[in-house]
Amino acid sequence: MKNNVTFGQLYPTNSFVHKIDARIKLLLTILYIITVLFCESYFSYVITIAVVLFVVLVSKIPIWNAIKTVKPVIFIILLTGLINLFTIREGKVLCSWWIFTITEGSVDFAIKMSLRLFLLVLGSTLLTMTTSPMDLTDGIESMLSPLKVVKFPVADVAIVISIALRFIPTLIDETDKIMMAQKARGSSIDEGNIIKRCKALVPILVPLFVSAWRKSDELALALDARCYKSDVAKTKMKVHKLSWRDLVAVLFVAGFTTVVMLDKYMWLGIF
Amino acid sequence: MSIIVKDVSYTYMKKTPYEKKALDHINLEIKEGEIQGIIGHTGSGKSTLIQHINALIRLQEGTISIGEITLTNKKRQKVNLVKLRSEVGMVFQYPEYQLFEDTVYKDVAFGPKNLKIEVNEIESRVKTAIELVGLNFEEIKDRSPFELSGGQKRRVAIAGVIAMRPKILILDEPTAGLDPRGRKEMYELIKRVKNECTPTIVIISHNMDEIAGFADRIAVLDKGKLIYNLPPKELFCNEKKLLEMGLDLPVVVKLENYLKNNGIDTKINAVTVDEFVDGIVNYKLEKLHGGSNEK
Repeated sequence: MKNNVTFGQLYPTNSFVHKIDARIKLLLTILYIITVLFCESYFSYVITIAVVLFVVLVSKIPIWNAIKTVKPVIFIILLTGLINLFTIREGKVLCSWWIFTITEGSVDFAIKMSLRLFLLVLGSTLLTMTTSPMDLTDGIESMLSPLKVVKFPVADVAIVISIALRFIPTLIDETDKIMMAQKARGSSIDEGNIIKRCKALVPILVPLFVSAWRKSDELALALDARCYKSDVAKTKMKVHKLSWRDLVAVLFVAGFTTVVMLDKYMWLGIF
Repeated sequence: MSIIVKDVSYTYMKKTPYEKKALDHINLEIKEGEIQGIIGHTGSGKSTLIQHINALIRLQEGTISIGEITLTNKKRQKVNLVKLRSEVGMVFQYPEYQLFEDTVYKDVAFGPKNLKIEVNEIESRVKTAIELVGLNFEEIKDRSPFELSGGQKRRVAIAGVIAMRPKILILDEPTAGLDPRGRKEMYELIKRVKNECTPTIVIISHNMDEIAGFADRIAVLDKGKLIYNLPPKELFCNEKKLLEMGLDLPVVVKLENYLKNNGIDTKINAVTVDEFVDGIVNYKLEKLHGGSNEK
């Protein structure tokens, strides 16, 4: 596990995209997702692919690394495509066998649906690949801060998220160590039927939980020892300011959204 | 059963920005019946190396022979991993954190159970292992591992590995976090294990003084490369290089070198305190009696 780059993990380059403010990136990703859902014609899909590839290029992430992040969901995408391919009945029938029918409409729909899923995943992981978890947390905290008025515990939420993020690599390491220790004693979680495999998880989960509790205990003591209080105003080490990059990014994505919307509603598809 | 590591290299996270070369063409032979020490700075590749030996890490380059079993980097190898791991026992750092069962007995029996050993045999192995690590079988077998002290937990964890009756035992920093008395007891435990059931022992250590008096041979790793693999007395003649690598020398070696640099050549070449003290006593006696060698 140590050897796998975590799905969507930060790919550190010094690109334009990396330097855009996290809040802007988060909002633009949401806008992007909504836009993709509005894509209708092949023209808008082509535009979307071009936009995504362009952003990947600007972010200096090797294209193959970016595409690889879709691997975990490739099965779902293909499955969705196949199901749609064989069940949608619309337009001329192209070929038919038993209960499976492929029609012009179903081909069209299957391609577009699969593309849509692919682009959604790719676009979203671009967010996590160009933004560090801490910056994202800061961004979320900043955007949620108006909620402080209704006594929503914004600072608490932020610190819970950042502690959880901070512990992910530690716990992954711990899991690795425990798995190896138990494997060294002959345990194998990759053999046997489902019941056996679940049983084989116990020697890993129990020590892991005990370890997580121990760590959180120690962390609580450390926080106490440094006078941490949740309801006291704190200053930040990194102060995020908006810059010209953010404006350029907003204009770029807004332009993209406009094109897709025009395509859908006014031009009613070029193809 | 000896271990032959041939031309092993390993890189973590290849083709990512986090890539790290952990091992660089390691060639090492661990001889049967010997205590092999492995020392090196943090990040030198010690843990990576030992995890190759019982196939916890898949070989990328090179081969490793453990007795009759040979590990290679081919995709589909026919190696019985459970059998391999029963012959090469491994105790990780802070092994007390791997305990999970309801009772000490069950936890120690976990290893043998995975080897599909029959129940009667398991019982005798568990008993032997627990007594070998210096704990009282009757007193401890039904207690929960989580209510034991740190030292007891560690012993239980080691018992869990010994119960599998491995032919080779690898210990990764067995004395980490122990006080001086704990360290002494740990080494006595290891000696017992060597004499009574496992003839070949591999110890990774940071503590030069301990390993010097204990190992038959010490391998030194630095940044993934094997620099030396020598008996202690020969190894510590390379003071300069060892210091350059950020490693330390045993206290008595440093003392003797210091004395030598200031005109007193004790010629003892000790690596342990006991050896040195004996040597000094003889040296003093020689000086007093002008040449005769008495104790």
